[in-house]
Amino acid sequence: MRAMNALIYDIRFQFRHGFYAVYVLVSALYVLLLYYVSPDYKERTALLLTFSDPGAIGLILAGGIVLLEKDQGVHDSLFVTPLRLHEYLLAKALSIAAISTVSAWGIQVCAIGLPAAPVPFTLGVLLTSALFTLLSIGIVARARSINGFIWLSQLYSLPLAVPLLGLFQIGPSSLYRIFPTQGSLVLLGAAHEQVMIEEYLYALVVLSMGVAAAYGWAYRSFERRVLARIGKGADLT
Amino acid sequence: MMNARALLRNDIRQMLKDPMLLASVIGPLAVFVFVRYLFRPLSVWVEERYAFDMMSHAEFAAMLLLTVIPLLAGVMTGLLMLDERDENLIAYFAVTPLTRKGYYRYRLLLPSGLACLMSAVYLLFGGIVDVRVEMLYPLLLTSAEAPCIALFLAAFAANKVEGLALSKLCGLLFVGPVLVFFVPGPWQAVGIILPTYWPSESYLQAASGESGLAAVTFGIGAAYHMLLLYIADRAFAKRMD
Repeated sequence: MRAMNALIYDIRFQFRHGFYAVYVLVSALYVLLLYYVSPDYKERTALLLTFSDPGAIGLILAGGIVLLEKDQGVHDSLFVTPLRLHEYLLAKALSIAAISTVSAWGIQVCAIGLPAAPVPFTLGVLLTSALFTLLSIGIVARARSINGFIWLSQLYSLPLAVPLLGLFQIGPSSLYRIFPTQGSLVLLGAAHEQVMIEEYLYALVVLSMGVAAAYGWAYRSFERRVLARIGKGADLT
Repeated sequence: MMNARALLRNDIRQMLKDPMLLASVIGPLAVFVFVRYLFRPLSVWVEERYAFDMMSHAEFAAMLLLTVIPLLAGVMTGLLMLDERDENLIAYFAVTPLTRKGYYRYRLLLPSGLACLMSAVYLLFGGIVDVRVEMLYPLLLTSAEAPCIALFLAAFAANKVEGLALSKLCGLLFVGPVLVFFVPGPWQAVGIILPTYWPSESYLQAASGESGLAAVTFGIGAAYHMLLLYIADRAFAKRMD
């Protein structure tokens, strides 16, 4: 129940601050862009866009939200309520994954058509979004300013972009299979091409392991660097 | 002047501590290095692999990448101003001899100057398009975009979270060069509302030998940029009052 309330609060917060409105415009722009892309490259471009934008939306936005909460001293009062840290993290990951999913489906359906495999596609968006959101929370626990956070987030997320090289047939494809985001590309790619069941399982396992690792890291970072400082007032450093 | 110098000294110190400020210099330099040293080898690789001639779109690439420089400086400054506003630092600056006006002037002049300098280096030494005197048109117009973006973010975002959401919309600026180079005649009219349409259009006209038309386009573009700057400045002043 507490997690549900936190989730509803986060969705309302994001709606009030214009995230949904902005993503309607951004998604419309991508649909327009895909309209002009040659049919030979359309599906690959859609995959690239879905991964790097609706998929990775949480990388910047989640950190921005947490940084604002830190500045306003929201955590001081939030964590004296019965709300647990894992409920807080879950609400952040799910609320941002909701925007990612709506946006990814909007781009896919309007620019290309219904995904060939809707369930793997949706799971791919949800898990990719959660991965980047949790990574972002781990990073923002280490940042003091918004610009410092943006720079750190690019640095930390760079390794996750490595499997994109495989989309252009650069380097041995087996090398990319250890990256959780290779799982994202397989699941998102299921929107356009048939994928073997073993490949689905591999993608789900590697991506879920990535999400679990990011969750553990975000939890520990938040606990040590944010919660441990509660009671010292708003972070104005 | 002395007061602004103190703020500049502080910013240089901050630049070493805050990696994003450093990125405002390194980012455009990275764009320059990419264009100067990597664009040609990359285009050879792409042509061999995908039979696509990137060099035939060199002017488009040059204008598209030029858009990145003021965008980086503008977004960075806008977010910095929002950060300082969220932390009530602007109120502190306002009661120092710097004054609130001096603070804004300094905050906006720095990104414009940086964007102008970096854009000039990029255009003069990038080496993928011919250097011509009309390059001043895109150079001046794009330099005016950095303060526009910064003010737009600071004026229309209530806090840094909204600033981040709005900065996503700045991606729309990349549509300007795309419209100029790829979209046929009448549809280009859609682009006139985008500030980034004007630098690319004036450059393309100059490159096709239509110097007079390029000068007129630059004039209209300059007036439009001034108007946008005025609107953003009014909106920002209103929010602060």
